[in-house]
Amino acid sequence: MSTHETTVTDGRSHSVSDPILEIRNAEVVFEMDRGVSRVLDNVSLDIQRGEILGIVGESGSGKSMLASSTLDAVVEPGVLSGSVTYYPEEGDPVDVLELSDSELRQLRWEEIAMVFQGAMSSFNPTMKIRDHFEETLEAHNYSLSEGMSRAHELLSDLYLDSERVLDSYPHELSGGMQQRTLIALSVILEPNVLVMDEPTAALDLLMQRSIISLLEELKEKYDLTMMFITHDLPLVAELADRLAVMYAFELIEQGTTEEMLQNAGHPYTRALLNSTPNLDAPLEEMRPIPGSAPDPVAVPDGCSYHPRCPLATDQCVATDPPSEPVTESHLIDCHHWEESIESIPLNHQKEATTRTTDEERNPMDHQNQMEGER
Amino acid sequence: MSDEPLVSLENTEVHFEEESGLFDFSEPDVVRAVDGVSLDIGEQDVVALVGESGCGKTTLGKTAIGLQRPTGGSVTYRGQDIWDAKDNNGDVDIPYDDIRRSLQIIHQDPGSSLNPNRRVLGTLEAPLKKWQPDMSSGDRREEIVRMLEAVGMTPATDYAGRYPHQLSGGEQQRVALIRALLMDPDLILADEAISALDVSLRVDMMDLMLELQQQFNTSFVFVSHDLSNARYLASHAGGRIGVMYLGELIEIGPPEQIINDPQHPYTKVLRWATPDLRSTDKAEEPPVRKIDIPDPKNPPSGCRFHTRCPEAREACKADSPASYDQESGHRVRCFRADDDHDYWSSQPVTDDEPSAHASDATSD
Repeated sequence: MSTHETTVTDGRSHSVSDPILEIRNAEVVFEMDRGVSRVLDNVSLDIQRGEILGIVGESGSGKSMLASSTLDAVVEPGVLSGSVTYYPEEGDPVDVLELSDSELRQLRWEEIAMVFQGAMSSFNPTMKIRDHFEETLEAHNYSLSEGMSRAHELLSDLYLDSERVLDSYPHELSGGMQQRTLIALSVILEPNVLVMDEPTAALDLLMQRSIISLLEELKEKYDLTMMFITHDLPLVAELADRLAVMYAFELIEQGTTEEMLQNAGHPYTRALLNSTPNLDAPLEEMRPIPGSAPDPVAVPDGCSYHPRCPLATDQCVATDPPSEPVTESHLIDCHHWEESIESIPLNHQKEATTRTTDEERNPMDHQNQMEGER
Repeated sequence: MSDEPLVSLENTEVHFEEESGLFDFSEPDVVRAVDGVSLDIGEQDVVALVGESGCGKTTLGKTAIGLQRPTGGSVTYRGQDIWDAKDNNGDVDIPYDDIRRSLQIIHQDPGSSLNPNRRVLGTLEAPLKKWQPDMSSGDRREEIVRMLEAVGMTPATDYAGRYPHQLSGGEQQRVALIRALLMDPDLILADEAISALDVSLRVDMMDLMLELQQQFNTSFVFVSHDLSNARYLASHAGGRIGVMYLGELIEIGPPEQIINDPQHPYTKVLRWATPDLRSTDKAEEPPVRKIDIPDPKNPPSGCRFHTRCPEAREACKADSPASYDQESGHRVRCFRADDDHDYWSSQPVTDDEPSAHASDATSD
């Protein structure tokens, strides 16, 4: 893999050689009565052309804010700063945050499309599905006949009966059908990038998994770059080439899916991996993460995870850890990532080894100490 | 488990009629939410019901705790028919009020199941006032504080004074759990009670439910669409997992058998649908012929799964499979469990369209 010459100090990884989107120091703040709420904190991220990038975080970690930022779609009174650069296949790079309203309208949907959670609220309940497709095509001055034949193809790619779906009102479709229809609608203008914010939440596992395998086919067939935002790490791990984890409005770790599953370095990533119920993992070893995510108005100083972290030291309280490149593609924001890999075992890696759980519980004792200090 | 089940459902049916217009005299559409389900729930038992949305798992759960009147079959609580007690039909051994108190529910969304204008204390006092009117207000408070501490909400007096919006989702769900437990119930229906919580909090909530189940000798019916959560809870409690499809209970048994040795092709599909961190293989094609569920108003003939089942044969179209008993309480409704059935000699079902891309919808 060819790499850039740049040093890794700004949060980008070497392995992204041909970025399609480049996010630098993105920050979103809301002025509130209680104080300034920073809901996206200095996030830098590259998205490689043609990859599927999974962004994982719990509710309130800022992951949806990151999605909105890539399209300069942060709602008032939120203020977005930093830069977002889009690199089209041909032509000059586009500074997304500097675009005029009409240029932005063109960029959205034609270059970068977005699928939101909860398909029902994305459709107009009084319009048939066909009208949604036609309206979108007309608004962007696309040929209607070409566009509609593409719509038919997309819908059947997604295992839908296109004729029937187009003649339906949104409420006549099941949740899974709505969500797949919305995915078809989002790629009708042949965008290069598809940003999806929890596109499978609120659906059954079976439908989620089916959509995941369909997205894979769609990506190959239409040559898409995908950014898949979710709280469900195991789900996206199957689809994504790379994973990035968010905690308390920051990116705390990113790497290839393999690196993140086998060699996750941030204690939070490891805890997240261990807290997921798994069909094959020994039952005793699933463990919740103690404590709760911080308030955006009062994010802890230093490393924002330190109050919950079993490995936290004075250093973590004092200084926010920089992104440390462990490999070309693997970045960890933790002072103690080596210790973390050593002392926090991952449940899904242990096959038939029988270990005493006492030994693993030990790091948790630190947690109580830390709580006491707060 | 004692000999007499706590709650027993026998051949229970719940059919909903869709309302038709005033001058519409055609036959109303009937949704068969629950169809011919028999299930015994014992003391300190845990039954986890899994299935896709619309499979009737919540309706079955509500029927089991007497919140939904069955349109056929019976539901009994310690031998007393719940709806006879409600209607004062025949000899009523256990008054309806006692049954009502013994069977409780925790809803999916804790935010909307708590009164936003009431402090935690007020919310939790209400059931005690109703069912134990002789209790002094000091005793009530003491009891509530004790319960808050039991679920780890300390300082309890501080939490008692809060409004629901001042609690996190996990804390709200704990309050809902306490509210149900204060009735000293025999059975609690937890309807997707952890689905609204963050992934990292789910195991915590399940641990709490298990702990309280032991402490208070309560049985749980746990409704979930997630097989791994169902397995976690049912395994720890030594309970069972029941799989529902279009209103029917198609397989039930001990969790390890359901997970490691599923008999019904649909259970295998659910197994496939559960992500696994151990295999990072790319997602394969779903092991079903169609990915959408058929319309419950017009369920397929014979085995209801035959339109999607990868193993379906002509025999599956004609008859609905009986319930076949396997070892250790494992039951399955699939012809493949019967080695001598005509199924094995009939032709595999083929889809008319070779692509199988067209969904269920074309068939109506």
